[in-house]
Amino acid sequence: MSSVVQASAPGKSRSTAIWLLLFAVCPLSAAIIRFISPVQLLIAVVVVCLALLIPALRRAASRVLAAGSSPGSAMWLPVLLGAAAVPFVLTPDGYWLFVFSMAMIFAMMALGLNVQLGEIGVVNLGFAGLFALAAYVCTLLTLKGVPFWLAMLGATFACWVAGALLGLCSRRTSGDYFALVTLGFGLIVHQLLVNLRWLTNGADGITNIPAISIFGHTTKDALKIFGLTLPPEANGFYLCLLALSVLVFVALRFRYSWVGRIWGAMRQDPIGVSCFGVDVPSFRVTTIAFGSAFAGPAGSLFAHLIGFISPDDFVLLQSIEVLAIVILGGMGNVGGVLVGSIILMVTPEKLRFLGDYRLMIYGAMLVLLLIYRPKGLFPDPRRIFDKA
Amino acid sequence: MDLFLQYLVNALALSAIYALIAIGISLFFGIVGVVNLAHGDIAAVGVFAALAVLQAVLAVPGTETPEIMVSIVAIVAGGLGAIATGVIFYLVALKPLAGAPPIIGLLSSVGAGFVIREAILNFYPNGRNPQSFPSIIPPKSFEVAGVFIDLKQIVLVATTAVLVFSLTYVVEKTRLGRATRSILNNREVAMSLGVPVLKVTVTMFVIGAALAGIAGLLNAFYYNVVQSDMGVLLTVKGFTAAVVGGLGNIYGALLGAFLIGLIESMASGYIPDGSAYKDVAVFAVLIIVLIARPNGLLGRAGGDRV
Amino acid sequence: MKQSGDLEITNLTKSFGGVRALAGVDLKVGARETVGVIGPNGSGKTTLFNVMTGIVPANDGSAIWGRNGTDLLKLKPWQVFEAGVSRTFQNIRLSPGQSVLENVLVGCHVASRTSWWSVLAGLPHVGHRDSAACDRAMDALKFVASGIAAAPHRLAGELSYADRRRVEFARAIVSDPALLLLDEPTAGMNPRETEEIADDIRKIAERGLSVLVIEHKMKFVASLAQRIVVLNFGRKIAEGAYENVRSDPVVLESYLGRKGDHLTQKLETGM
Repeated sequence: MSSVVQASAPGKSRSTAIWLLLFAVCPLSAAIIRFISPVQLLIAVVVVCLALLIPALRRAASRVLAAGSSPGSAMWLPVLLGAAAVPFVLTPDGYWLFVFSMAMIFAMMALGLNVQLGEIGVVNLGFAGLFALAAYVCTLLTLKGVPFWLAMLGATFACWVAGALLGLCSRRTSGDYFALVTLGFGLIVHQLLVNLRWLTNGADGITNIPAISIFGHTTKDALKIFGLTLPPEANGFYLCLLALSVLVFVALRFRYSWVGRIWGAMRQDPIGVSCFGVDVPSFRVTTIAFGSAFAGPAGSLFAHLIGFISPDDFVLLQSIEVLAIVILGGMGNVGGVLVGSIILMVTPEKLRFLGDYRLMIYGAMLVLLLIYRPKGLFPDPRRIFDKA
Repeated sequence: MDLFLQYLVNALALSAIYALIAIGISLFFGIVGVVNLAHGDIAAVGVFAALAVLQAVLAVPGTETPEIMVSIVAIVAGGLGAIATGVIFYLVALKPLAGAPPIIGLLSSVGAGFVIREAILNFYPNGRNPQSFPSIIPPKSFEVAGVFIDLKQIVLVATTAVLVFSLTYVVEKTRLGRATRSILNNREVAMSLGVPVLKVTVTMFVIGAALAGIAGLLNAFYYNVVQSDMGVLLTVKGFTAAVVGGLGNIYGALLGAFLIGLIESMASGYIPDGSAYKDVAVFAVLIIVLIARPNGLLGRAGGDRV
Repeated sequence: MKQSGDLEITNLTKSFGGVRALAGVDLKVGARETVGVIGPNGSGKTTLFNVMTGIVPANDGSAIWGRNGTDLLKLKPWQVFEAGVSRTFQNIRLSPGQSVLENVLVGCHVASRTSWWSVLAGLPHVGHRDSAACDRAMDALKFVASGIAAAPHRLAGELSYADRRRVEFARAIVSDPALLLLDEPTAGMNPRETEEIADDIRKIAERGLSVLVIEHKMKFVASLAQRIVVLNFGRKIAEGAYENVRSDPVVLESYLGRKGDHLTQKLETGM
């Protein structure tokens, strides 16, 4: 595990090579996804999935991801720089930058759900509701003239409160009930968005959401860096990258603190930890609220990058997409969640020739994963004792 | 007062639908320990199977209202469709998960429900849009003491009553019922005592799915509109009824269903523009019940297993 | 040391459905006293602990503890712990996917926790408390088993059964409790390991805490406890020094099935 992280041991050339490799991962995969044909991509995905059937390879992959995503890892810097280089690779093409931005927005939510589902094992089927809450709160605030950054904070706070209220239903009841409550929450938010016309403009949605402006530069302007002109979508890409990095940082900070320790212990034996001073029900509520807050930045960025939101953007499908990202990527593994969001949010864009069947394939994939790989493709390597 | 009685009648009709779903969810939960969030979607398959038959017949020129025989065929097709879906669902999505934590089963049912919805959406002709469901029951209504009672409301309540009575008979009096109760009690022990666990489980899925299919059909008879994702709301309301009453308790499910129906009909009746918020009201009650009485209204307070 | 004091249990009653697991048990543990609880399987020993620590609600009775006279039965498990009562479990409740050190750290979580905001902000005291807690946890591990302490990052699930019991013991003592409840601390251990644990318990008791220990091995209890309480069918059937209890005819009959009673035989071998 450590040999990957502390690559400096054998020699400088090797560590430089690894550094370059890590740097190249993001731009290279972005370019591959962008330029190969759908059929080739499909074959590639199948090959990767087959390769992951080999236990040794799978273990190695999840080790690298888990070790790489620990807070002190030296892997973050090159990967982050590499990700920042992606717009330069895709440059004239704004559409694919937009697709990657959406993937990052879903990755943010998946990070939050990972806290709930991955760390403490509660099923939240209403993430789309939180996403909607964030998008609408942020939009309504900015339309009132509140600066985007403050509005985003407000939206995050709203999600935190909503999460805490949902969490209260988990205090004394089993996880099944929490799943029901969140499922209901998602439906209810959608219905309220449609029916509270005076506030949300109903099913027509809100159009003309202003672009985000930073020192007079808005996200609708072309971005000029190093004399290169990037398409306007690059603004959104960098904002999402920034937000995602911050959220990854936050998620890891908690995961590797006493909080994360209690999460792991609580998931495996709630009664055991309750006998050592952990108020398990309250801790669960706090954790659910914490995870829900991740929808705040996601929803805010979503609304302002697309510029138009309507209730149909926030239905059960989105909740299940987030759920699928966490389950596919690997519960409890932050790196796995990031990879999962790329696989699930970007490749379908290429698979449009499958038409509407791709959503069906989605559901079927979920069931298959739960049967054969309940811990996901890249589970946290320490989860050998978890049943799932 | 008359208005109140009128809402009560409507509530009874609605609760007849939710009761069947709630009992089915309770039954599945008892027998495999998994909350089935695809239950309403199983019901939806039944509805669309029946709709297929009806639309095929109505497509023939000259037929306007379906004859009684056609209706029966449609209902049987609906039941069979639901049963087949329920059994396949169990064998494909739940049975391989034996031994996994119940939360995995729940997630699997979410995936399966998604597949079912998308399948209806994609494969049923014009499945993307809401479709009208032919009225099988003649639109007659009676006036009793100033209250209007539709024939279909009577049919709904009567059907549910008959089904619930038969089910309680089966569970309490027959060999199958004894075997079921032994599995509910302890699956491993039942297996070691020679109870044919798989056979009984599948039978219970047949019964539960048939109940779901009938509930879906009743729902379709009542509203005369069906759509591919009608199952989600049915699941949520049926599950809510089961939870409010106390999961795993038939009478609890009945009580819960009645409460949900009552809240819905009162909310649509008394609150201005209330029909838009009836589901919100149901959800609010669910949350209140879960916080105040986590084990349901009729549920026993049980500690965690140690 | 938190509050050291007496524990006085009166009329403790608990039934599961129709089965009375505890039928009015009275029990006293004095300050700095070690009391052994013995009895055949199903006699209510573990239920006694579970009720005392708030995992299972009691039907009746009280458990007055400490100088403040708190009734443990009215507290939640985590409040019981904060009142200075720590325990181990008969069926080992560690989290197998976490390291030995992390498992022991859970035991001193109350001392090391900080607000979530300070974790988010990365305030320095979060790290300080954590490293202080690590030091304490390592001390506890070294006290219990130097072998395990040498590799604190091994996963708890990879340890042998006896070692897992030792880790549980370390987790129970790391918080410096005033009352320690040990539920069969030597189950599955060989005579030499049993003797080591007995030494540990004696050493820890010398620090001035009260210990209540459930055990099957008579000799082990006799070597530790000043007083022994015998339970059967949820009732206290005898109490006193080991010599007196051992020769008590009621105990012999229930414990050893002297009269060839089939039921007691069954209880002995486990249901």
